[in-house]
Amino acid sequence: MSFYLSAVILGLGFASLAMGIFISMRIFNIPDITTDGSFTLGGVVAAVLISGGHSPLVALPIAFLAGAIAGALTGIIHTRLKVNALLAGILVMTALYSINLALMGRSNLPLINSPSIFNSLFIPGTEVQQQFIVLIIIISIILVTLVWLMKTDFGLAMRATGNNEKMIRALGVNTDVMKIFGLALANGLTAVSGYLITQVQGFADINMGIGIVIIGLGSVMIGQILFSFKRKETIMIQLLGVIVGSILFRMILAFALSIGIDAIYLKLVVAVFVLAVVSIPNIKSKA
Amino acid sequence: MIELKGISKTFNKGTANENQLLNDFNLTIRKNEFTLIVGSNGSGKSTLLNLLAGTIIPDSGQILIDEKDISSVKDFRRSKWIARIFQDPLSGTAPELSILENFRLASIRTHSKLLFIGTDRKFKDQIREKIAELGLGLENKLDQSMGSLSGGQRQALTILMATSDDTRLLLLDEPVAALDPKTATTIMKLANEIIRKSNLTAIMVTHSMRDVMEYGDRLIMLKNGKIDRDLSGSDKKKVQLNDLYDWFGE
Repeated sequence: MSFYLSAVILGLGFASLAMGIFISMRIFNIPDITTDGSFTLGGVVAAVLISGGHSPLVALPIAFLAGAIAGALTGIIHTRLKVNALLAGILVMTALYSINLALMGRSNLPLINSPSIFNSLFIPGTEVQQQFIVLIIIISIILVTLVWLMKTDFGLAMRATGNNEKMIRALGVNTDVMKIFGLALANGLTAVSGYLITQVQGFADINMGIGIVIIGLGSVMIGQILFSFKRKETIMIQLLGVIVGSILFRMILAFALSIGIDAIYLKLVVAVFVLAVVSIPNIKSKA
Repeated sequence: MIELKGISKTFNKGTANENQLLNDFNLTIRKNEFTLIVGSNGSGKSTLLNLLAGTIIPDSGQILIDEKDISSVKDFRRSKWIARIFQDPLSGTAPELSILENFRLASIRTHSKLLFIGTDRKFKDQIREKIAELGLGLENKLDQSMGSLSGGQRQALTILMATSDDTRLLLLDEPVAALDPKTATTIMKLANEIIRKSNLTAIMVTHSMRDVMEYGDRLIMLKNGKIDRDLSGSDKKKVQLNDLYDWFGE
C-alpha cells in the first residue's frame, strides 16, 4: 500500500512537469526539450539553497524563476535567432548541464536533516502524509492559476498562438513574445517539479533530468486518452487529465518494479510504455 | 484614406530569380470605398495586399493610413487599423478555441491582451445577438469549438469578427474562392452586407467576374504591377462581362 502511496506522491511531484509539457506541446505546439535541463536546474536550486540554510519557501519562487529564464532563453533562440525549436532546446539543455554542475560544485547534493517544503508548513502527520498534503496544495494552486490564465485575454492569445499563428498575428499579437513567455512558463513549472522531487527523494543529482521529458510527454498522452470520451474538453479537464496521467504513470512504473522487472530495464519500460500510449490514438483514429 | 506612394518591391534581389513586382506604384483609396482588384496571376494583387497588411515591407515608397506613415510598422502592430480575411476559410479562426473565444480575441484586435477575463455574460449576449443576424443558426453554439464548423460558417464568422473592433481598412484576399459555389454566393453577399452596414473601407482581391459585376464602388485592374484600368462610380457600373474578358486578353 505504502508502495503505491509513494507512487502517488512522485506522480504529484511530476505533475508540475507534465503541466509544463502540456503548455509547450499542446498549447504552443512546440517540441521543447529544455525540460531535461530545467528539471535538474529546479532540483539544484532547491538543494543548494536549502543546504545553504535558506528556507524552502524562498527556494520555491527562485527555482521557478530559474527554470523560466532557461525556457525564455530557448524561446529567444528559437524566435529571434530563427533556430529550430528542437535544436534550441537541446542547446539550452546542454548548456544547463554545466550550469547545474557549477551551481552544485559536485554531481550529487544530499539534503539529509535539512528542512523541506513538506515540514516547513506546520502540517501535522507523518512525513508521507505531510508530503501528500503539501503536494496536493501546490498542484491545486498551479492548476487553478493555469485554468484562470488560459481564460484571460492573454491566455486566449497564448492558445491561439499555438493554434493559428497567422490569425492571431492579424489580430495584433506578437507571437514571438507569446512563445518566449510560453516556454518560460513551461520550464518554470518543470523546475518546480525538480524542486519538489529533490525534496521528496532527499537529494539533487546532476543526472536526475535525463529522459524526464518522456515522463511529461507520457503523462500528457495518458491524460488525453483518459478524457477523450468527453465531447467538450475544457482546459480544466485537460489539465486534470495531465495530473491524473502523471500519477497513473508512476503507478504503472511501481507495478512494473513490483512484479520483479529489473531496475536496469526501467527506462526501457518507460520508452515502450510511452510508445504504446502515444500510438494508441493514431491506431484508434485509423479504424 | 489609404495612400501608396512610389512603392517598389523586388523579390530575390540580386539572384537569378530576381522579380520586380511593383515599381513606383501609386494608389489612393478613399474612405468608405469598397475597391475590387482583379488581374492575372503574377500581376501583383497579392503583393499589394501583403504590403498593406505588413507581411511584406516595401523596398522604397510610403504607405499612409489617414496621413500616418505605416511603411515600416510590423504586421501585428498594423492590426490597430487593418483587419484581414484570408482565402483559406480556416485561417481566420483558431479551431481549438470556442466561437466565443475567437470573437473575444477579434473584439480586442486593437488593444493589448491583458490578464483579464473578458468572456463574461454581457459579452456573450452581445456576440449572440451579432451572430444571430447572420441567420446561420450559430447563435446557440457559442461554446462549441470553431473547428467543428464548416469552412463556409467559419469564413462568415471571420468576416463578422473583422468588424467587431474599430477597422479603418478591411483586406479581403479572395474570401470565397475556396468555398462551393452556393456557399460562396451566400458568404459573398453576407460580406457585402457587413461592409456596407459598417461603412467599411475595404479592398478585395477577386477572380470572380460575377462578383466584380455585382459588388464594389471601384474596380482596379492590375497588369505587370501597374494599374491598367481604374473605374469608379458610373464607369464601374457600365462594365460588361465581355469587357472584362477582353481586358484580360489584351
